Amino acid sequence: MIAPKMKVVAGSTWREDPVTVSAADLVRWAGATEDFTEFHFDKEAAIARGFQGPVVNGPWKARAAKAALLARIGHQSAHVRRMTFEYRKADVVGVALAFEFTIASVTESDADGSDLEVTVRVLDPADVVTTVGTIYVHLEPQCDSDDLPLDRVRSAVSLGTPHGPFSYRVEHADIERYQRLSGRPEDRIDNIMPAAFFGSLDPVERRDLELDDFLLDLSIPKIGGGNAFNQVEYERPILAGELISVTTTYTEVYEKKGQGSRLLFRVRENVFTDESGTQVGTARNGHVLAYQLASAGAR
Amino acid sequence: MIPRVKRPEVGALLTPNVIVTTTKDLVKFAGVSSDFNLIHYDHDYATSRGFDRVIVHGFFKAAMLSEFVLAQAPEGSWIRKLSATYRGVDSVGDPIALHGRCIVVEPDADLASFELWTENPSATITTRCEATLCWGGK
Repeated sequence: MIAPKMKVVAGSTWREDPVTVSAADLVRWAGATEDFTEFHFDKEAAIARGFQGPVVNGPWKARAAKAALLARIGHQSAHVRRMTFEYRKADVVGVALAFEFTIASVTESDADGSDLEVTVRVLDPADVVTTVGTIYVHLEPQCDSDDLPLDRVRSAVSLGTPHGPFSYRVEHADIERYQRLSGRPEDRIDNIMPAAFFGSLDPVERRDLELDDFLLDLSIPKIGGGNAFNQVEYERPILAGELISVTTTYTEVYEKKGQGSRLLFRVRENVFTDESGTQVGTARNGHVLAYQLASAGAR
Repeated sequence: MIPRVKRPEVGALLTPNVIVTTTKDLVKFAGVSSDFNLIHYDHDYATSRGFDRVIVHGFFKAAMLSEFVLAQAPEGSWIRKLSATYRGVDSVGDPIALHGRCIVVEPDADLASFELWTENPSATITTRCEATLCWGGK
């Protein structure tokens, strides 16, 4: 288990070693963000605008602050929920910038972990504050053993309780694309929903129902995952153009021990009904996440 | 085109087929299935998760097997039941061999069941499916 590099205490203040931003950094940033405003990389354009050189992108500073903070916290499950920044003065390329952090508040909960509010100041070599911001960080609870939080998962998915309904139109264009992609010849394209298309009507696959996302942020290293099995049974063919309502019920949450890993299975059932309220199909889907055992990671 | 059979017989093997997917296919499938997991189209993400390349969606393999059996089934067939179990991953660009065998026939009901599977280039089974088909308007 990776422990935090620092003790998270309200009031803690620290300053990271200065970072010098290069022209290459800004060109990479421009390419990545498609922000090709010339004064960020063209010296003449910057001088024409009254700057002493190419200006460091504000969001570059925000990203750098976020990366420095997460590296300092060193908590594997730390993730940023929100951040706000205000750019007060331009910084030019080649200047060393210092990032100063203060933990303004820590809100702790045994079940859900901790929420941090961290203020950030970016200072130039003359110690002038050029940027201020606030980063809101969530830390998942630390696991002290290989135990997966099965009870928490069962509670999060409300085991046995239906969710929904979610309504999805079975679009003609989607059906045709799906059939072609799956290898159907052009002269056999029809308007019957392909059997495997039920996955496209699944609120979990579509991310319309996300009840256990915290699993992605557990401090136990995740080493894999995906669908374990999918099953469907139709009462009749579903046709393109139909509006299908789906309710999802999680029915099982369990774990299996693998070689050097623990496998977490979550099984859910979907019931499909048509516009008249008649049940037209049922599905059962199993998803697995694989976590590395702490003992295996230490080897 | 592989011809359809008029009456499936228990034990009869389907004519195998081989499909090679491209990243473009996986992106298209992500779009049509609303499954945007990065592991199916982001090479760097896939390699960071220990795979050589991006991997084919499980549902995509189930869909390919569904079409594979439908293409050889009696005219007017549709799949009433389908189950898929994923045993291993298939990487983009690798040939995926599709196989099948008829395991149940109920002539009076115009119904037949098939076991279907995919094999990777090492002849390892990576997906197992069972499909029950109906025809004759049933």
